[in-house]
Amino acid sequence: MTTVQPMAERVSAPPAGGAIPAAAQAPAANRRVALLRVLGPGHVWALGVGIVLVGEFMGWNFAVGKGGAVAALAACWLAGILYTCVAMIDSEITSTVAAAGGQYAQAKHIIGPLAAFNVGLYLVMAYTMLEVSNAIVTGDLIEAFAQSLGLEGAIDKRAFMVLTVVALAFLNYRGVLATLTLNLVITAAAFAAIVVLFVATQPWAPGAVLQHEALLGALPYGSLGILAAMHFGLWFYLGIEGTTQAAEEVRSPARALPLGTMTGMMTLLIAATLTWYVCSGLMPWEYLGQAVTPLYDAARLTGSRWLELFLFLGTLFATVASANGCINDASRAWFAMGRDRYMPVWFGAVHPTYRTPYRAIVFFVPIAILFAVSTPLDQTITFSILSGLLGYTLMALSIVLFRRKWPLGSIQRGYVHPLHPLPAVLLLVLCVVTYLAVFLGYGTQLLAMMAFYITASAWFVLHRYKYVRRGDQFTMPWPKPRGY
Amino acid sequence: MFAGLTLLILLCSAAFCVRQHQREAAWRAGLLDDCTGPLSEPRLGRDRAGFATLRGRVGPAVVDVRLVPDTLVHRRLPQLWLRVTLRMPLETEAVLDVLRRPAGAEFYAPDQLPLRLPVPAAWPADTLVRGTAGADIPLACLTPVLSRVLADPRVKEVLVTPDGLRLTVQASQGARGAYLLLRGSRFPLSRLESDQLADTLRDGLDLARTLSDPSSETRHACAA
Repeated sequence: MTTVQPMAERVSAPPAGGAIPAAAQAPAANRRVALLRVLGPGHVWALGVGIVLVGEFMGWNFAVGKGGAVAALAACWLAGILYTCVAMIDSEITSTVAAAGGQYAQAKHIIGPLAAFNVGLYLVMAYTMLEVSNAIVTGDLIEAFAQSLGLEGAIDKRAFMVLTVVALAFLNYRGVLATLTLNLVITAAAFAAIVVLFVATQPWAPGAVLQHEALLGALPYGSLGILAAMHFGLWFYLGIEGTTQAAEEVRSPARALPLGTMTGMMTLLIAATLTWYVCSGLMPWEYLGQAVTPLYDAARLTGSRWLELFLFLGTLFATVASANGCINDASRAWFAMGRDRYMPVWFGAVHPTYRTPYRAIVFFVPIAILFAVSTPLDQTITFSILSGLLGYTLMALSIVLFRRKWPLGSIQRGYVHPLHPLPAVLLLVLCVVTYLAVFLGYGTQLLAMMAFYITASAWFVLHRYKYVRRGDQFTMPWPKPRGY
Repeated sequence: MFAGLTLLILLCSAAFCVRQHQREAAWRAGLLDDCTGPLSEPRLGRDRAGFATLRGRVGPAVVDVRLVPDTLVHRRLPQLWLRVTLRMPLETEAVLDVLRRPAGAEFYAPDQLPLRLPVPAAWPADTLVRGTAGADIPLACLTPVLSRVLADPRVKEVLVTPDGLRLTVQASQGARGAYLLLRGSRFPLSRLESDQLADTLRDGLDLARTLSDPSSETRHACAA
C-alpha cells in the first residue's frame, strides 16, 4: 500500500480559529486562492481507501499464520484502535504544521533534526521494503499464472522481480506521465476484482463454495496468537493516516479529517473482513498464513478460469501501481534528506530534463533488487511495518512535545483532538504491544532494524549533523516554543 | 485462449499509452500559445522536456518564459511553475533571493547564497530571504514593491541579480486523484492565460524600475 496523501502548495489561508501570530496576520498570508478548499469528508474517505487498497491483495494473510484465522480478525480490530489514535493525533499535527514534506517536515518543526533524520529513514525504508514486497508478489504471481497456463518451469520469477523494479525505476527516472489515465482504470479494476470474487463465492449460501465449518478452527496458538497477529494486523490499515495530509484542501479540517479518516478505516475494516471471509472459507489457515497471493489463490480455488484471470490482473495492477508509488515516495524522501544535508548533498540532484531526483531513484534500484531476490515476502513486509511502527511511536511522543512547546491558544490549530493525552498514551501502549508481537516471530529482524537505526543515528550525531543547515530548518510562522 | 487475451490486453494498453503520450506532448508544447500578446518579437519554442518556451522583449528587457514541473517535494501535490526572466542591467551588485514557503527542495532557486537576511515585519513569516554581501540594500529598496508582489500567494520566488531578475509563480497545481494513485502529474490547465504572464511581467518591470530609478520614498529606504 502506498502511504502518502499529498499536500497542496500552501497558497490558501489557514483555517479560522485560534490565536494567530502577528506575522501571519499580514494581508499576504490571508489572501485566499479560490478552488483550493474543495475536499469534504467524502473525498478524504475515498482517498484513504484508495491508497490502502493493495493491502487486500497481499500481506494481511501473514496475520493468519501467526495466530490462525480468528486471531487475524481480532488483530484487525485491535489495529483499528491503534490507527484511530494515529488518525486523531496526526489530524491535529498536520492541520497545524502545514508544511510540505509530511511527517518528515513535522518532525523537524516539533522535535528536531535527529528526529527528522530518523523519520526520513523510516519513510525511505518503509517505501523501499514495500516496493520490494510488491516486486516479489509480481514475480510469484506471474510464475503461478504461467504454471496455470501449463508453462511450468518456463518462467523464473526472479526475472520478473528484477524487471518490475527496473522498469518502474526507469519510468520514475523519466517522470511518469503517459500511463496516468490507464492506471486510474487499473485501480478501479483492482477494486472491482475484490467485489466480483466476493459475489462469485456465494457468501449467502454457506457450504456451497465457502467451507468455513470445516476450515475455520479454534485459535491454534491460543490467545497469545492474537497478540502475535497484531504484527501483521497493522497491514490492514498501513498508510490510512496519510489522509490527514489533505488538511490544506479540506473545507473544514476539524470535521472532515477525523470523519473522513475514521469512515475510511471502517470501510477498510469491512473490506478486510470480506477478504478474510472469502479466503478463510477457501483455504486452511496453515496455507493461507504463508500464501504470497491470497486473493489470486482464492480465485484459483473457485475453479473459474475467468475469475482467475480477473484476480491475476487485479493483483498485478494493484501491486505494480503500489510499487510505482513507493519508488516515487522513497526517492523524494531521500532527495529531501540530501537537500537538507542529512545525507550527502549528491543525492539532492535534479535531472536537467526530466526534473526527477534521478540519483536517489537509481541508488535504490540495486538495493531493491537484492532484497527482492534474496528475502522472503513476510520479512520484507515486516521491515516495512516496523518502519511504520517506529513512526507511530515517534508520533505519540511528538504530540506530547507539541502540546507542551506550543500549548492550546498559543498557535492556530486546524483541529484539536480530544482527550489528550489519552490517545497518545494508548498509542504508545499499542505500539509496545506490537513490538512485542514482532519480537515473538521476527525477533532477529526487529533487533537488526533497531541496531540499524541506532547506528545511523550515531553517524548522524557524530558526523553528519555538522553539515546540516540548522537555520533553514524552521519555516513555520510560530512564536518561540515555551521554555526556549 | 488466456495467453491470447493477455496479449490483447497488453497490446491495447501499449496503444493507449502511445496515444496518451502524444496528447501529453501536444499539451506541453501548446501551453504558452496564448501568451505571446504582452511581448514584442515573440518566439515560441520547446525545452528539452517538451514544455513550451517563449522569448521576446518588453521595454528594455529581454524576456524568457519557461514552465517548470516540480514533483520533488515529498507529500505535496505536483506544481507547474511559470518562470519569467527579465534580462537587463540592474542597479545592484548583490544577489537577492526571496522564497515563499520554502520546503528545501526548490531546485529552481539558487542554493549557495551565503547570507540569510531577516524577513521584513510586514511579510509572511514563512519566507526565506537570502543573498550575497550587500543584499540588504536592494532588499530595503524593494521592500514596498515586494510586499505588493508577495501579497499574491501564487508567487513562489523573486530573484534579483545585477544582470536581471526572475519571478517564479504558480501556473497550476496537480490534480490530487491522479497524483495519489500513480504519482501522475495532471495539471488542470489547457493553456496559460495571457493575463497571468502580463501580471508577472508588470511585477518584474516594477521591481526593475524601482531599483533603477528609485522614487523619493524608496531612495530614502535605500539610503537608510
